[in-house]
Amino acid sequence: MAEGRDESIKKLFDAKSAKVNTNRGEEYFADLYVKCQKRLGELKAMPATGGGVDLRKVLEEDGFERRDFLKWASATTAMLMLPASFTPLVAEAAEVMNRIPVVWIELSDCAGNSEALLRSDGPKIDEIVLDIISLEFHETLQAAAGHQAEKQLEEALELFRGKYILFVEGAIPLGIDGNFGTLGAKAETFKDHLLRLADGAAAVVAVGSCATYGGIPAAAPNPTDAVGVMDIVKGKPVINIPACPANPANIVGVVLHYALTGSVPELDSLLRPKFAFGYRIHDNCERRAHFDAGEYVEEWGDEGAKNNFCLYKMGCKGPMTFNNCSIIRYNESVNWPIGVGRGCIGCSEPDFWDKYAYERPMANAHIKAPTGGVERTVDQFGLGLLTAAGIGIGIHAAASVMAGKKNSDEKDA
Amino acid sequence: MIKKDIIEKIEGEADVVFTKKNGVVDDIDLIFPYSRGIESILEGREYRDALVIAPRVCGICSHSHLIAAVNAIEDGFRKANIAFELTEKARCIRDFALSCELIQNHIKWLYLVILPELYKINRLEIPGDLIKKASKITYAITKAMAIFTGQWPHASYVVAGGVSCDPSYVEVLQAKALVDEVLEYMHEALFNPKEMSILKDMESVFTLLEKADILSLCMHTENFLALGDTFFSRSGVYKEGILSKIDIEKIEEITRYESKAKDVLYDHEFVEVGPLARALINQDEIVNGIYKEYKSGIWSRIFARIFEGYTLTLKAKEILECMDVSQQSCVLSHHKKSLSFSGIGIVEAARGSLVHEIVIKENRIDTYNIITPSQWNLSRGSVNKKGVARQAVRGARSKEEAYLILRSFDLCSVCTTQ
Amino acid sequence: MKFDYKKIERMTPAMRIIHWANAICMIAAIITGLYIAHPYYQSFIAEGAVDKYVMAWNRWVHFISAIIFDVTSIVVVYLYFFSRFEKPYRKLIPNAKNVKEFGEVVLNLLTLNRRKRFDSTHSDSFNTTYFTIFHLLLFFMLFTGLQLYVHGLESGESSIGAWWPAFLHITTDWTIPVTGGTLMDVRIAHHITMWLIIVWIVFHIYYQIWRTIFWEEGDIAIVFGGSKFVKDKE
Repeated sequence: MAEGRDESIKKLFDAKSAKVNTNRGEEYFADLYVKCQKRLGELKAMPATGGGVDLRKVLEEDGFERRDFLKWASATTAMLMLPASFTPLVAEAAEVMNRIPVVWIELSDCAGNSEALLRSDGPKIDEIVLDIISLEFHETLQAAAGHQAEKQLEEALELFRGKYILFVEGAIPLGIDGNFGTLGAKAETFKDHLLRLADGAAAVVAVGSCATYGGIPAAAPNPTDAVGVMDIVKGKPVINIPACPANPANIVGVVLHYALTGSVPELDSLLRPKFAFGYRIHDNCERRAHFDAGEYVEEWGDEGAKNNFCLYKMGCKGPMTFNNCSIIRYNESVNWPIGVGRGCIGCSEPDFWDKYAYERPMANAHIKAPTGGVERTVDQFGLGLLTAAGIGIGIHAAASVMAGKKNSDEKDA
Repeated sequence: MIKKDIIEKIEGEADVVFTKKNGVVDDIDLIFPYSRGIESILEGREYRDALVIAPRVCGICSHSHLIAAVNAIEDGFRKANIAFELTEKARCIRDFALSCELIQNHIKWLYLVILPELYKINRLEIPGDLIKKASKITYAITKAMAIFTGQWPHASYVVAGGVSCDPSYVEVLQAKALVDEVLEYMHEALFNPKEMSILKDMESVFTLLEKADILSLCMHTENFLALGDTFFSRSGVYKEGILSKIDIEKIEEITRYESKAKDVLYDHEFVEVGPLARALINQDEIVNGIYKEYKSGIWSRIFARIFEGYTLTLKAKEILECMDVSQQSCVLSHHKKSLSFSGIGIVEAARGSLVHEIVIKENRIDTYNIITPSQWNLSRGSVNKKGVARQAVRGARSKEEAYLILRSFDLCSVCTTQ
Repeated sequence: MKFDYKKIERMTPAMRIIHWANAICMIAAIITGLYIAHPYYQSFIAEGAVDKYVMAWNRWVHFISAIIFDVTSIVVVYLYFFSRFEKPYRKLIPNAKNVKEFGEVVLNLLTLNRRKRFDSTHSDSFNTTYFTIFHLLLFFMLFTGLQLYVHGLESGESSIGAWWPAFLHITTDWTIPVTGGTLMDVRIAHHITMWLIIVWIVFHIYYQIWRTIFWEEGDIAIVFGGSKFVKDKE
């Protein structure tokens, strides 16, 4: 742990600060534009890897007009924090996304991210774009099982070596030599499996909080000694898309960005793409005005709750959480947790299960120490300290009054 | 002749070891080589944390776990003499969201699991539009659900004493439009409401089963169980054709050391849980008719599940129609004093009866025990007394058939191993 | 025997201004900080959210006092090394003289002024150490506080230019790993440090009063008039 901390401190000073730089000047974007055009030209020349699905055709079949598609493209351009002039490029990138092979594996997980990705999210058009992502291998989605699936995976790995993007869902249990999770006939541990697949990948994307930080399996007491992808995979670009479940719009964003520029998006110190995790939930929250006004929900179902007051006193962790769900929301943008009167639990931040106590503000958090040690709220601790100091002072003062010696006494002595 | 094989299934994974005798499957052994230890993570935390951690047991039926957790806490409150009555609105919202989760699960299972598997068995090419068909319904229904729950999967809008959301009438209408959309699709592709007959996609399930000659494959000792009394089903035991009341005390959980899943029995018997069990215990006429002909065969199971999806859609619409948005969302204010209690929460989830048992000491979780639906169906048992799925696969003529039988239970290894 | 009292200057006007600025800011920061951590009073005014602005005012006061602290802290650091009046850093060097003096002052406190074998005409090394602890706590507060503050400046822009958030990131990002790795840890550390400072203040006030009563050198006057009086034996 200490080693990891040293490393992360070093990383903090190496990183070009956590700031989100949305305006890098015309020259930078002009350069990028040319670079992207060249990249897209190259991709177009490549054959599609998947079923050869043509996005344009799919869109037509589904009754989407070109106009809807461009609307989506301009929204996505904005999400990726690119200037509006990039919209046609983003649209083109979406059309050639099927040139980028994707391998999706599940480790210690609950399949929630796959569920979110495949069945429930994004503006409608995102899902169509997802059909276009060339998913070369996905355990839960594909029809093949067992040996057949393993064979398919091996083939994909060989064919697209050095080109595919590896998506990982779920944590990696290291306990009892990794035997809390094994795969296939050879009982390969999750760790070995991940390392083998990451070896041939162009980039590794950790989807969801489990793959990013270990997530719920890594919550105290971390029974399986679970860790995230970035703790295992070294020497490869790693992109983290935390949250529980990860927002599919951000998953699409990462693939699109890769298609467009051929590189991973700009990342923050926790390796999260800044376009998605550069902003705090709190700052774009629809209830922010109530926070500033000091209007808070005090009890579930009270008048404040009926009036959509701020959930800060109900333990909302929006002020400590960086994510874009207050902007793009969930399930086809229909709603999000704060929208249904439930505070943010901080699911895209590290260690949130243990440190972002849920449903309670910090003032009565009763946070369970990761080691199972002393459990005291901060204020109880502070008051205790103050009382101890007060008692100490009281005793000293009393003793001074009884037995103290004033300097003026000296003359009598 | 013993042949070892590995199976990787939809919704997580499990290893299956086949034992073949005279060319047919004689026995299987299911091994779950994977666990996260969620129960032990829950222990020692404040009880309210269960409402966000328990749903994360499973990304597929997260909402059922959420309801089970809140039911357990509320049951404990009542046992600790904290009197409260959920408002009709809160109950409606919870029930609506639960039915949405079941609907999307059943439909997804039909298009992504059963149909592809059936095409494979008949050596036919799998149509490319199955995912699209599945997503049409599941997108709409999860969207309707998210209006009240905020997100799916892993929603956490439920609190002890009610729900945190306070929907407006417009939002209810929005949800209703989505449910109507789903219903319309079902009337096109699955069931004809007037004649109560099956349509297109359900027909192809039937013909594919018929063609492969496996309509009544997969029979077992015909013991069924439903533990939950819910808005759409009653509790009961259906044993050899006789319906009787349940007794929670008769549930028995046995730890097995070879695998990370536990066996669970009712009254010393292995039982099937899930939509077929629910329909039989509810004495649903249509499902009963099919059951009489095909017994606990694969067609009964598939039909019962999809039909439940359909009836739940009708129920969901009904719930929305009679929801009174002016009622209180939550009736229980937060208890500042320290509480000690124990409770049991039962939910009829997509795959059957889900049980959460909690013991709380001074606001902290002392023990947390989860019995998942797949645990009932996949229990291993012994040589003399085999679990339900083990009985069902006996006699399968090929690996594919055995897979199909296992999958007809809609098993979920994520839940089973937690 | 008659005493002559000799007047000794102990605090320059600048130091006294800093002291009182700090004291007022401290009280303001604690009151508003407690509200920010857990809004302990509810606003009942039936007006639009925009008119009440209760949390926003609390945060405003909190940040203003923080900025004043920023400035005084820089001045204090300067004075520690370059003050022409006295250079406190000299009292911090753990040489034999300072260690002995430190021990003597502690003994003086513990023996309830029965033993006083040090020169109380200047700031002793115990006092200097105690104040240095305060300044270190305050620095920690500033770094963690500014880290929490910069979260709201994600765009990299601020009303005074882009240099400000960038500067804050460079100077305060280290607080995240040091306090435990998450933003919550920074917040908790900021909160706990507040309690440490309150405890510090309580002892500080007590000790000054105690010294005034028992040493009889008018120590309490230092902070008002800038000087105290020591008995000058003829």
